[in-house]
Amino acid sequence: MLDLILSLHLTFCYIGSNMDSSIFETLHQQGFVSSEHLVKIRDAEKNKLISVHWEIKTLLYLGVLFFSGGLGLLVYKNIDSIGHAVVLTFIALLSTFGFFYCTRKKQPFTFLKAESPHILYDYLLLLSCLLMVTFIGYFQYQYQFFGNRYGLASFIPMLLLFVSAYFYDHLGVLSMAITNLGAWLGMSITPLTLARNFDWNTEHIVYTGVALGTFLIVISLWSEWKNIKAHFAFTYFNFGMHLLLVSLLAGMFDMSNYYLLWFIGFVPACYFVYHRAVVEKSFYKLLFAILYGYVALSYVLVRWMSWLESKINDADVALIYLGFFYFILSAAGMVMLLHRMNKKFGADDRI
Amino acid sequence: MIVYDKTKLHNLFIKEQVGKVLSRNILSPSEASAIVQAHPVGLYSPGWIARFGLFIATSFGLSSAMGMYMMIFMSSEVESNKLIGLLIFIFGAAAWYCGEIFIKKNAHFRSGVDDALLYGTVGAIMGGLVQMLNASETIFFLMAACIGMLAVLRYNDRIMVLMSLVGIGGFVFKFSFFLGGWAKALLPIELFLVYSALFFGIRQSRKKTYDIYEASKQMSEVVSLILMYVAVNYYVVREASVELMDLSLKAGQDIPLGWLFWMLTGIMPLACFYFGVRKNNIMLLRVAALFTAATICTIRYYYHVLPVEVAMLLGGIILIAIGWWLLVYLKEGKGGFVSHKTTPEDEAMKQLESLVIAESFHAAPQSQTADRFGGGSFGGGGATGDY
Repeated sequence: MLDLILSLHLTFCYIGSNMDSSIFETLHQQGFVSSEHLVKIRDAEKNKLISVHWEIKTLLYLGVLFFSGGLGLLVYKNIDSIGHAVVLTFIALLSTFGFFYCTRKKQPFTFLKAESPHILYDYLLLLSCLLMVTFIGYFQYQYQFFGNRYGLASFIPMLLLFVSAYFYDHLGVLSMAITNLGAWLGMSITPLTLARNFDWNTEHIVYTGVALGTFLIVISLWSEWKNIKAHFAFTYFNFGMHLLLVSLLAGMFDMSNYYLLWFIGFVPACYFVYHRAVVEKSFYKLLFAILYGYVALSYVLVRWMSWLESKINDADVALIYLGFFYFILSAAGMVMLLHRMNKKFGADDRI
Repeated sequence: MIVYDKTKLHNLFIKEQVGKVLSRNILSPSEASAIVQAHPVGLYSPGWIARFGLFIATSFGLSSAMGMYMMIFMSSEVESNKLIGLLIFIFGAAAWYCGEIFIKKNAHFRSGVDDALLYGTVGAIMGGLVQMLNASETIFFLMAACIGMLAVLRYNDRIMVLMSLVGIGGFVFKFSFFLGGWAKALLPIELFLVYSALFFGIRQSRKKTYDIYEASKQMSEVVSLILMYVAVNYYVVREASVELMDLSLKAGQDIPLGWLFWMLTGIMPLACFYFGVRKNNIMLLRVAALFTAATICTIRYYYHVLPVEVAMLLGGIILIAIGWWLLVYLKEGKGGFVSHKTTPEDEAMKQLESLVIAESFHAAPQSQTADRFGGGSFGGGGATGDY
């Protein structure tokens, strides 16, 4: 329900107020605005142009989503008929054509940020990458191209996605490559699964998550340090930060006998994110360092309280009150901390 | 009526306007800074990231406080629902009072703190009242409409607009069931008329110049328009008639006035689109796109014209083609619309977009695609259909 309200709000109400020249009439009378500028403002209001940039992008995005989904379904439904091979060839041709087009249109390769030549370029590239992944998937399914080496079958598309992301400079493809990297290691790290699944129950996945999260953060720092596609750094850091901290928390919850050990591992990781946030003045990173840190700290405190309860007789009511006190005061403290840091960082909305 | 300082709100509006004009290089920076200095805002409204964090922290604190409060006053003697309701109501009222003092003193405006306090206290007050009065659904909807309206007047909050409008619809719905007969049979038309009256009434009340309630009015227009469509959408009317009014349909049978609902389902997207283009209103165009998707889903639900994969392929091609055409057609700007950005690049939006891509296109192993894309992608149209 909240999802619905939020998306409604974002879609329909994030328009912002229109330009209003009457306010400038008043400001002109008060001597703030020169007559020459007032005339210009009136003109601008009369000939205002509303940008439908994001609307067009949404149309293209949905188009790519439907097209690639429909094509995938088409192959899947006709998997044993002759039409199958035809469709596969069609996918391969379309993907090749897309890559060919993008290669011709793209700016010369650079390790810096390459501006996209056209909006359409972004979505055609996305479609080509999707079709390529689909093609490799079905090729393996039908002809066992990689035999039983399933790891290789997901490794190759992942590698190609990374290459495309760097070669054509596309953040969306990079994000896809990173989630595919996770899939290759056997874990789902798409944004929503990360937000939903707090505990994974499998030790193996927790360790993989810690390793992959650390690795992604290292790559992020390395990109910035060497200035190799430095604008990719945030995407790596974002995935890495959430994955690492969520995995450490999962370790704490799942292997609860050793929760203190996991907590000791969590503290430096969380502090590191906090430190980066302060250095970069990134409120986004700061917020998550604080939120994850708060969860970990509260968990440890609650564990200690329940330990105390088992040791002391007749202390349960007092301890529950103590717990409530802690939660109320700490929430108030968090509000104050966020408020203070927000004022300190000054500029809003830096991610 | 409004809790925020009116002068400060007006100064905020001036600041936004100056920012808009400045980004087009119509105003000189010295003029701009003189204006902004002469109109100090002094409201604390952080960006959305900080707002999100403050919202979470405040809601958490508020619910902990409520938990402790209930623990103190709830003993084994308090068993009647009415007393519990009274306790919750008192908590909500007290928290509302304290929150208001806090908001006024610290000049919070859309900071996450005021949002959380508003929703939390409205929730507690309403929950408490329902418990206390043992209210029926009719009363509940009426209460949502009234309390929502008061909250909108005082806080100018959009989610309260939504609550209030849904409350009105719910009340009409329940009340017509209570009346029965014709009132019940003509329910979709009644709802349609109520929401169109709201929509056009609010439209009329829009001022040309500065309006404190601009945001709420915008939201109520959108919500009324969407609920107007939902009230007469053929799928909704048909399924609701079967589910709620015990209408039994034999195969091939149509609901009464079926032609009217089909007509409205078809006309509303077109009308929104037409007026959106003519009046240069982006909101109407977005609503038109949503209605179009919903109408297509409705038609496909009753007439299986194409197999799903062909429909998706064609739909994808059509969407990409429309996007492409718009890009070219609006390149220089036409009819008040333009295809390129008019505001500077927003890094957060780019990152968000890449996350959406990663979410919707993760790995494509065979059978998964069948479930995923078939059902999920039409969610936009389907979601409104549940009402």
